[in-house]
Amino acid sequence: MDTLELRWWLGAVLGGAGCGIAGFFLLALDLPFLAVCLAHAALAGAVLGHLAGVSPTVCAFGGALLAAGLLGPAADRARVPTATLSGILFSLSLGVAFLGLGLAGGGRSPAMSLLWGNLLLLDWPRLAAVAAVTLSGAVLAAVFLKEIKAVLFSRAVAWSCGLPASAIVYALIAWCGLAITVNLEAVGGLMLYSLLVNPAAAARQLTDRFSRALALAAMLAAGSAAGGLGLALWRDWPAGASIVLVSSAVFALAAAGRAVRGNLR
Amino acid sequence: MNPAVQFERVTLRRHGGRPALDAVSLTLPAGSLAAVLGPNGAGKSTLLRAANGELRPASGTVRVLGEDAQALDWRAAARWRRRIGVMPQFADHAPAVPLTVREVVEIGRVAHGRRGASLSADDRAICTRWLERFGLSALAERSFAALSGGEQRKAHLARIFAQEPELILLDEPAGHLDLPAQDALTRLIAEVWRETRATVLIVTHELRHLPPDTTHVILLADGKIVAEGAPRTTLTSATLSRLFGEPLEVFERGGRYAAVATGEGGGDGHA
Repeated sequence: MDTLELRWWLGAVLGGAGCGIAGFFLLALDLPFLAVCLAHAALAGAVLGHLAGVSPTVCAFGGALLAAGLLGPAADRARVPTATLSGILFSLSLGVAFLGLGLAGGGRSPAMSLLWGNLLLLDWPRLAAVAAVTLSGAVLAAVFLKEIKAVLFSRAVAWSCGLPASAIVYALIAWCGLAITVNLEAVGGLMLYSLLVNPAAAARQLTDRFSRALALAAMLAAGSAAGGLGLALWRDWPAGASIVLVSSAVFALAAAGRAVRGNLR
Repeated sequence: MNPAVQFERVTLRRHGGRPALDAVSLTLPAGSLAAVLGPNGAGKSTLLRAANGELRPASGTVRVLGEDAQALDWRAAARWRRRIGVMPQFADHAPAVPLTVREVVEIGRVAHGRRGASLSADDRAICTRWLERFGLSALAERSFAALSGGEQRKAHLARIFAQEPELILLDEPAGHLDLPAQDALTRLIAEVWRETRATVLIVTHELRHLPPDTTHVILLADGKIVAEGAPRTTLTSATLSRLFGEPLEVFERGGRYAAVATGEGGGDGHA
């Protein structure tokens, strides 16, 4: 295996694990649509950055952070349900992204890779960023496990016990935005959703324990990304689409396994 | 001794409309087992949420455990909330979050320890004790989501008592349970209150949800206190008929109260 291939595989495994952790948090917040909203806000930011000649990664994080800010504190203050605001922001982000892609030259634009992703273009600095974000998520989840458990179980209960519940939720959403941003170019804005939601949902099918489900979500997402990369290399398919297929198959297998276990009991 | 809860002419408007609480003044001595009773929309949950510091009064002052929550900075407010155990009306929890019963009870200890540190052996022992006290030991490792409604309420109560609060605010703790479960939970609350002597404030619209040994009753209608005092003097047929707007006959046995409608039509026939 040469260094180029090593980079692909490391990118798939590390990026996948980060998406799995982010997906677990977003599903636990009962806001799966927030994942797609953050992904598309990052996409819109990256496309606008590309158009303006500014780093797409920086602009993608700006987009995700802006969406996280609007979906967290602003939604709370305006008393708009986060799910409603996610839907509005999602359509706005998608509109801005497609407008930007159109202005950048449509299907011939290099910015199209942001839409579909290209794991094979991941360079060492981007890989380092992916690794740093995934590692930070794993460390934060391990250190603040009891606080995260409390807040995800019920923000109202956690607040009433004396925890800074809103601050913890906003921090989780912001970290998810970061994880989505660093994986945007590799997986693509449209494909990222499957890597966020499918492995985390599959993990919940396989276990009823919080810590195990969190670890499983990271592992299944890493496995889905690596499996998707393997499938792409084997069949010469687009990596992003292959990852979607594998992560969907992982969820289907987990759900079928749970149904079989339920019938055997 | 400072009162546990003190409202001084508190008016609170929800969404700018008519007052949910209208110049309410009340004082609860520390160690009381108090109940706020009133029909739907009387302002009972609003009163509880004002006591918890969740809602800011338009006028008047709420002092709970000697503090005005609205005047505290966030650190002091967090420390103050640790002294108060709360069961919201709809103890909402995310079904996608897989916690065991023990983990739910441990939430009561999370804010006591250092941020980012594991629960101490003492904290775990306190949770184990309350799991046992509420008869949940055998269910401790079960998924919270798999419990019945009554068992989930008990787990929330165990969480609240594991927090070792000085004041406990319970919003309709026995609501939506079947009759035996309502009765068992109501008696359990009274037993645990006798053991801990924490101040307990229960909000309910069901007379039979008042625990035996209730020391203080506040009758609330349209955001105003209609009557307050000892159960024997406040829970009379005449007062409750006025409160619920239909003729009621009140019965008492062993410190528990129930009422039946004696007029024709209207209401659900009991309180």
